[in-house]
Amino acid sequence: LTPQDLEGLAPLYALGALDGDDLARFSEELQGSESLRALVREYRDATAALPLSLEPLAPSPAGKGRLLDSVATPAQRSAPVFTRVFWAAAALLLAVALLRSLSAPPELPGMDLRGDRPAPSARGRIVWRARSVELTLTGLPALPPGQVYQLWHVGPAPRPVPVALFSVDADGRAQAWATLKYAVEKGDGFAVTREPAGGSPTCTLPLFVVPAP
Amino acid sequence: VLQGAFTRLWREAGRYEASGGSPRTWILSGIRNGAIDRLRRREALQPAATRSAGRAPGPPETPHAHEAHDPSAKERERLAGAVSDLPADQRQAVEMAYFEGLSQTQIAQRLGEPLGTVKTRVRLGMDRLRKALSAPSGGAP
Repeated sequence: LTPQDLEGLAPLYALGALDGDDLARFSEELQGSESLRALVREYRDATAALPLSLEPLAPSPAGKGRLLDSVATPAQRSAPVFTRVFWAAAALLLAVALLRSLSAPPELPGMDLRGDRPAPSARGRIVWRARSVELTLTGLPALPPGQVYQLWHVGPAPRPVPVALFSVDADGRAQAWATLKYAVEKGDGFAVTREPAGGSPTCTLPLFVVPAP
Repeated sequence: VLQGAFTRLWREAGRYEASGGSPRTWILSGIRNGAIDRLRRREALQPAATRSAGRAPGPPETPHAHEAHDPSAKERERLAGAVSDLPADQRQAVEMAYFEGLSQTQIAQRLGEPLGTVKTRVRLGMDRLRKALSAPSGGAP
């Protein structure tokens, strides 16, 4: 691996996303390179932006009480209480948001979707909790190479807000999971368009999927 | 999950090493890893058809409840801006790795994109976040 290759793998390693031969070779190189370890530290610190950017969720009073009871051992206190509580609160927000994003009870609020003119047989549903959404669609046409479907959140901003990119399988089915920039409010909608690979910052017409009436 | 993770962090605080990253990163990584491990174990025990059913309800949530008293609200706004400013494809790949614990290969499979494309998206996205976080915040926390 060249130094450029290693630098390119550092962010994936910091996220825990490296696997296979890439992981084995990078781990080996990491042992002997202080500069590479420093780069990984920088990327790891950058990952803090992801949980801390989420909409905060307050813990239940009962859960907070149980937590404080469980750590009320004076001998363990080795740092200022304020610091610990502050970061604990930040981490608590992360964990709740994480669980919310990955746990999807069936009674979640959601919206039925239907295909528009370019994809009249498309049907589907999008469900959400806090700022996590899961999209399920069927009946979408396959796209030519170099194009992807893009999900948009319509309503919270003057222009549709890009949410996620996805493709369809051979049967025209698609699923996508994403984190919204804005919470879903009454009157909001979702739409799907066809965009160039990599997605677009602004929505391109025509709409393939729109909210069902 | 939360109680176990925080208790572990509290009791293992002495093991923190600055060479591995900031205290904030260390704590958040511990919580994230614990939550993902728990969910993976839970999914491994459940048939696919019932994975989304029967989950225990989480603690009551009150969005915005403490926002007015949160001293880090301004900083969070800055971080949220850095994340939301990422191009959609880069943000999606980075979030799939972080929040869902997916590997580069799993992300490529789910998105139906070549592995090299996923690597590039993650690298570009993380580069942007790293630069955004190293910039002055413009205000006291």
